[in-house]
Amino acid sequence: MGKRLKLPYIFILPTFIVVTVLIAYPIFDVIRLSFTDLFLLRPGTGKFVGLRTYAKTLSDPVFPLVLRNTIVWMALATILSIGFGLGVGYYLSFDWKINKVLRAVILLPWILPPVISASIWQWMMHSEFGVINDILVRLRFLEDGIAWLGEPKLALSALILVMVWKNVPMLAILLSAAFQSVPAELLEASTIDGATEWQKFRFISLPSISYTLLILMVIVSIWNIQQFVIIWITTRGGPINSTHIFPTYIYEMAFTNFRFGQAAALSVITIGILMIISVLYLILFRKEARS
Amino acid sequence: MQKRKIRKLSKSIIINLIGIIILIVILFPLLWVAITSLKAHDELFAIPIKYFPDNPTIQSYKEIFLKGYWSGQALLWHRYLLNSLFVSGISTFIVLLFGSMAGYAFSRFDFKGNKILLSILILTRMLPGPALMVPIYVMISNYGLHDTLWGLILVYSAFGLPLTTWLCAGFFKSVPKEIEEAAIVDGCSRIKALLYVVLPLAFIGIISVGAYHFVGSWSEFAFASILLETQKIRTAPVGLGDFIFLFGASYFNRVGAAAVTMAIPITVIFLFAQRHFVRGFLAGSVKE
Repeated sequence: MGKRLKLPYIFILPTFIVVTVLIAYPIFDVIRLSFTDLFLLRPGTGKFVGLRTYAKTLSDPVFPLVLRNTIVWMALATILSIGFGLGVGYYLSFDWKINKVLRAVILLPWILPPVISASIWQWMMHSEFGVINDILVRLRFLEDGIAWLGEPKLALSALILVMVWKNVPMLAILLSAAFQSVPAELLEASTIDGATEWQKFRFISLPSISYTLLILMVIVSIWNIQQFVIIWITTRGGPINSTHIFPTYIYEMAFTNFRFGQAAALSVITIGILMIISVLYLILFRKEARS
Repeated sequence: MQKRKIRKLSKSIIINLIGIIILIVILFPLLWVAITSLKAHDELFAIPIKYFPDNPTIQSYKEIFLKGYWSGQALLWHRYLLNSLFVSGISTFIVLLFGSMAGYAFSRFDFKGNKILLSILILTRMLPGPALMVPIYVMISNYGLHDTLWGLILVYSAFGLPLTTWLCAGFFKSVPKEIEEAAIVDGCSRIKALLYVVLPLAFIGIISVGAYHFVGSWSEFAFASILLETQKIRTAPVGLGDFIFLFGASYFNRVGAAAVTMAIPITVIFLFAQRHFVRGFLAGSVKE
């Protein structure tokens, strides 16, 4: 009997050791590090300095910009991904021939390594030889090519579009499954009552998938705030810090500037933001569940 | 009658037009990188842009694999791919071994803390990876694993284990308990019943979880770029990042060649396991 009781613990032990050592412990360590002044290029640093590292981080003139960029990035990339995901997902939920082809290839942008996507889009958005400028000039939308990633005012928006391109396929697949689970009788009844296609979408399909939609919004927000590669590979946070969001800023602070204390403080702030978002969504869930 | 036919026809044209636009937006970037990789150096800068190269060539592929020098630095693309294969392969083996053990325990035993431990495990997936780069770097350095592939393998395994455990638990649950009990009654030990009866039945699911983890490890850039220093041991994503930095636009055909060769294994795996990917993804992110 005793042996049988021990077996499950023996089976989960390796997993818990690895996860505890490499994920749980680092969470506490990053909090500890954020209260130190660890600067890898200067020996003797790394002592406890209280809140001084936070004060230094928050008073850095770049910080408000990074915060602003992160909020813009999160909000726009999430809203646009969900919007296009709904559209494409609704389209995919029908039984059309072309959807067989679409379904077979649509997930490719999502599955490909982000470093590949970043390199492709960087080349396509090149100011002189990029194919996007070429198409837009040929179609007479533009007179001259634009440096999409070179203009501080444009770069973040351009990268948001890349992120949307990457996010939409998976969202569309998941949302099309949700749309397909809407009871057919409901839709038929409304057709008999003379509802237009738009009314069917707006008043029957959309309300039926609202729960899935909320869950997907949480997931997409998390994807977006974790994204690092697409920005780092294309712009490294530039030009003039206009595309730095927390993940890229942490990376630069730690592995370009070697200011580990400040990078840890930024990490803790990032985790905090993520927790705030999760709580907000939880409140939304509650409301949704009640109504 | 005529009117209705026209309306039906125009509806089908609009529908297909929308579908083709979606298809182009999704696929054009991928085709474009493949086309670019087949261009000769001077064709990269043709204005107006050439949508099809006059003389498609695999020159750029030869340059990153064989000759492979750029301002005195060897390019070593084949080496990067092999490193990625090693890291992804070993860490997939680890997560499958440990994850299926843990998943089996969670699905078959009603031990104390079962539910709470599984919830804690799945909660770790909410953590943003970039926020853990600093402490993990410090720890890997302290253990003397900095600049080794083993450090990276450990990190990938740790990030992969929660999802693998969760999914494996699901697959084991789908194998009826009675089959296993029957084998035990027939004189099998519990371990033997697991190895010869339960595992084969959950096999496809477990393999697809492995494929999912493999693809994730094959793609990972951030941790690989901070945990590896020596050029010879870099993985493909970091190598591709280097190429982008080294060549920039002036040799994008080489960047493209690297991207295509790196994408091929993933595309193949994906084509075989697509259905499982979606299901696995759903189970991993949407708590049931």
